[in-house]
Amino acid sequence: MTTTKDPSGIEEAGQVAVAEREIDHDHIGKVLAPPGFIRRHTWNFVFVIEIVFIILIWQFLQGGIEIFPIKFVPAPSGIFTELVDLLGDTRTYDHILYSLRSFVVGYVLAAVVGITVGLLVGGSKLAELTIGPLVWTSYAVPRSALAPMIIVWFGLGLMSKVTLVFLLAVFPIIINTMEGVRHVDKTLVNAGKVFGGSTMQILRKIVVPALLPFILIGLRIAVVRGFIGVLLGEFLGSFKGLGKILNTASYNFETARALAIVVILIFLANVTMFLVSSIKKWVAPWHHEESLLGGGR
Amino acid sequence: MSSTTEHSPQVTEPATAVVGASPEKITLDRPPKGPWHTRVKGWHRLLIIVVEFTLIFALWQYLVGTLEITNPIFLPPPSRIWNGFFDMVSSGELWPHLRRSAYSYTVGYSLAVIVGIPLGLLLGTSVVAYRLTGPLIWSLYATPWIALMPMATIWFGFGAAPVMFIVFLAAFFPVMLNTAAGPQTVDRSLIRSATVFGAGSLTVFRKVILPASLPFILIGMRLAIVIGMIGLMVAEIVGSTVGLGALIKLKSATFKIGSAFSVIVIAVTLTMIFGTALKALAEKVAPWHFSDKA
Repeated sequence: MTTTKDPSGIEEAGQVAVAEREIDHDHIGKVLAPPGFIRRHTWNFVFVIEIVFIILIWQFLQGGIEIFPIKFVPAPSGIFTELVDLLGDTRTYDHILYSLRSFVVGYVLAAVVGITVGLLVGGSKLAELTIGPLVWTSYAVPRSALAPMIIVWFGLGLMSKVTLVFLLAVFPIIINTMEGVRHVDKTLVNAGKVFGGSTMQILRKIVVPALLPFILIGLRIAVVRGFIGVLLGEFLGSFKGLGKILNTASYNFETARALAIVVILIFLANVTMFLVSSIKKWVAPWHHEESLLGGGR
Repeated sequence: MSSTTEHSPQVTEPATAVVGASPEKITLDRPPKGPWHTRVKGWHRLLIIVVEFTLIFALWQYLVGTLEITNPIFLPPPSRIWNGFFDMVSSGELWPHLRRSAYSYTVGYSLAVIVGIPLGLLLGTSVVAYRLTGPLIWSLYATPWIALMPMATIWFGFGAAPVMFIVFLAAFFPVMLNTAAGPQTVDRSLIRSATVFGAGSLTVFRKVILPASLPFILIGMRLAIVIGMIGLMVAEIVGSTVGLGALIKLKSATFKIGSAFSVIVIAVTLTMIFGTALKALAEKVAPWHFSDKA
């Protein structure tokens, strides 16, 4: 394609979508290192050892010689004590559940709306002309900046968090779905037609398999954005939730407690991320993010 | 890469099947004839966008400004947004906030680029480095960095520093991870042929790997512009008293939603200015990236 300046900025955004996709590092390892060079599990152990090592050094620096005031940068042992304390308290689970509930509701809404809009804008020329510019314009707006107004509009309850999660999570999904639609190989669809496939068959055997990885990558990016939305909403005003207790802890200068809550958040985000990645590996095992890894294609 | 940015009617065609169009639409393999909307190009397209937005704004102004279907305090009409902007400019209220935001953003973003590109190149070229730090970096990437904002305030105080820190965190990972993807995707045969022709590893890096990675670096930098702006807004909304985000919070808290909206428009304009500047820079340093999209 000769480079034409697309007035709606679609060309540019296509690249954004490429980069928003993530890289499967296992696959990179396989590509770069000869197969069977080092067993894969070795690196998992290395990862664990690494984390233990970092924690030990940190413990030595802060718990031992204390290079920063312990009040500001707590030692891992202090964080661990607070973590045990938090996990022993049933109220903590209330907060976790509250945060997760706003996340899940907003995330599911974002997934449904995002995939639908993405399919529409990517698939129909008319929708692309009419809804497309709206999507791109709203994509340019930093949705997080709407947070204070969303609190004003929807109050301090669940509704404002759900809205924030939705707004932050929906765009990666839309854009990756559109990207996926653009990646459906037309030759394959034509071949399917030639061999007498019905519309349903072509959808099921060609279009959906080609789309799925992209949608799932969008869903994976949306996880991080969704968690940002939950926290943002809870920081700004909430009665419950992890963001609320994190805020309270840091206002009270309980840094160890605050970091313990951050550890819980890191754990939750990574588990959710892992779940979505597993779904991707399960429904689209062949896909290895080849547009970033396959080189010249 | 090539098919990603491609945006011609042929490519979007099969996708009609996705939304359950009639089967004959799938097989379109001829020059676009179809209905009018499949043939819109160039400035017609722009015209449609302009008309659409004018209509939306006119309708918005009419519904909210004239009919007042909702309370204009909650959702102000466009005229009020404009007034809010004008008030803040004429009273000079905007400038300190704008200056602080531009400062925090520029420093945070530049730091992210300065640190992220070398680290990304290291990760991309060295398998050992990638294997060692990759999993750690990916799990850090998955954590919502905003969770560190309250801590950042404790660590760095109430000035611009915690905001810079969050902008840095937000922008750093896209830059580094995309940069790392660059060397990893270099065509192996190019490296081999360079080596065959007697290039040392430094020459290979400078002449083959670096130019091939530039597009990825630029994608990372472009992404980081948007994500850094999210970081800036979030950090200023949550824990700052000066800055565009803080201004939005202040204006919403005092129910001057019109002014708050106009601040968002300013933020969008800032993002666009940075994005355009980066694009101009990119066309200068990596012109091949913009010419070989065939």
